[in-house]
Amino acid sequence: MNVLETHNLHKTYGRITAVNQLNLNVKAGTVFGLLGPNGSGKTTTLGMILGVTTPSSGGFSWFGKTPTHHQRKKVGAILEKPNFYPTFSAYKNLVLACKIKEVSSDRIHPVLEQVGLLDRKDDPFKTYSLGMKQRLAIGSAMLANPDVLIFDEPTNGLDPKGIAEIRQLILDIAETGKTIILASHLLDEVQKVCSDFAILRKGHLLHTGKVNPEQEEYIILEIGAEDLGSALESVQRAPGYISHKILRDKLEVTFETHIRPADVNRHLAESGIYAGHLNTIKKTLEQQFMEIVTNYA
Amino acid sequence: MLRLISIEFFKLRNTKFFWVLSGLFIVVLIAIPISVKLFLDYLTSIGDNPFRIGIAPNQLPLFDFVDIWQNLTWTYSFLSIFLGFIAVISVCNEFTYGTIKQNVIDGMSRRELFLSKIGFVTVLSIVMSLAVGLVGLITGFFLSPVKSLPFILQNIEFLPAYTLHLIAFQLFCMIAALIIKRPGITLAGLMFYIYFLEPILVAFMKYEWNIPFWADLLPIKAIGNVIPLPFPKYVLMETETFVPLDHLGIHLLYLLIFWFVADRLMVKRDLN
Repeated sequence: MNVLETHNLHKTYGRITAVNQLNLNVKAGTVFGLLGPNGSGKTTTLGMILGVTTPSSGGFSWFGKTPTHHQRKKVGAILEKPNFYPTFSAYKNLVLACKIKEVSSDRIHPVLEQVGLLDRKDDPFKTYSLGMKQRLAIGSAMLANPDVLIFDEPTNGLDPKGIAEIRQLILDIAETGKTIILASHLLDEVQKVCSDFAILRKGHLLHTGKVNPEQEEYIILEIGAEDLGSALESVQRAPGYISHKILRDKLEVTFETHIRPADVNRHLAESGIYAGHLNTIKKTLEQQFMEIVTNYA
Repeated sequence: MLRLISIEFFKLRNTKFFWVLSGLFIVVLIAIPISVKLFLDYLTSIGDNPFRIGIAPNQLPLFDFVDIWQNLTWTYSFLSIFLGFIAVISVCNEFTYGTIKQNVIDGMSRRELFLSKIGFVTVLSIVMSLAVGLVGLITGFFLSPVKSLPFILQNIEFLPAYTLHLIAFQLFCMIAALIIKRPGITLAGLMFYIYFLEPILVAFMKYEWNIPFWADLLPIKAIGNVIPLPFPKYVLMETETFVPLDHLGIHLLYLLIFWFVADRLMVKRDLN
């Protein structure tokens, strides 16, 4: 089932087209990455599906229905940055969000606990670090126990620790089966967090697909050994061998998909070579991204 | 509707500016009759009579029932600026903090947002008018020689007229805030218009260009006209001692226009 569908969604600001005839489908239960450089129309797209920005033409539907503000109560979202009343405590900010979402304020305690802000709940929002603000925003988005969560550049401006915390939080939430839409300009982030992704450029949809295609055409193994030359010799005679590349201190060998790393390891050992390093390389999103972008260039 | 008003009240009751400004409103509300009374008593005691009339200053029937409602509400119409400030700051803050967006994202429709602001303005105006009513009753009870019900109730229509004045004034301020979005510039712009530009225009229209009717159509003048200046009657000049229906009509028309404009600004625009 599609949680979100957009139909030729279009937004122009004067002569600038921010989003161009966008058709997106987000399936239930996926972590959907909206990938694109700054200014590619990610935030404008999210703004439209969240009712903040008025589309110039086209439309969208939530849960297969015409959008209303009541559906937004079932969608938790952060757009651009955490928006809260700076002088209110975290707790009061969440009380207000509960009033708007029409949910009981009993939800505040578990949500604050989940994002690790329980001990700071009575401090004014303005005293929070950026990472805490981001976590509070995620907590606020979860108040109504929504089926869908939308995060716009959630790790922007955070330090490495903060980034790791937020990503873990998002992964934990995804684990509970919720649909997540994540806008980011970071390939790495989408790769680490998302199951599906779409690429936007200048408001156009370039590509949409899975982050880790289940049907790989081949697998790539990184092999390191003391005697790289004889290792290469042995590997070339291994079943399923396709091709190889020699890197500085290891080999990158491509095999047919049915080959498991253990098979290769056994073959090497039988030839009297013990691999000091053996690693499966996934086809990275970066490679996919480069392929897509070159195809469209 | 009650939910929407309570949301707006929750936002405001947790801010300092709301309590400071409405506190100032109440303090001045109470201070004015007391200080006027003390001042007139003082003038009488030193035998000065700046009004050039045959009675002692403290014998002026300023606080007598019938007169008191128009006198108080006209004087207090200057206090509307405090409530206007509240409206401006509350709207501008929502833009500065980005919370206006977040409220919508969290599930308020833009019209609900509009209604919560307007609804609260209306409730606040009614509450403040009731406070004016209370101050009027207490002052009159102490100072008015006549205290019978028919006299108390006569001309009490100035209270609802005052409520309308407060609502329209706050809507006007709110529209400025919705357009400008920055609290400082909005407040400065409003003060400049209300206390400088419009009074000058009014003066020119009345006395220079001889088009007094058009002066009565300028927004601040028009929404103030529901309560005519009462004091000339004490120097025996002809004064309107009722809510003039033609001005009431213009006022209501302005309320409609303000409502419509604020609605457009909040419901149709992108909230960025």
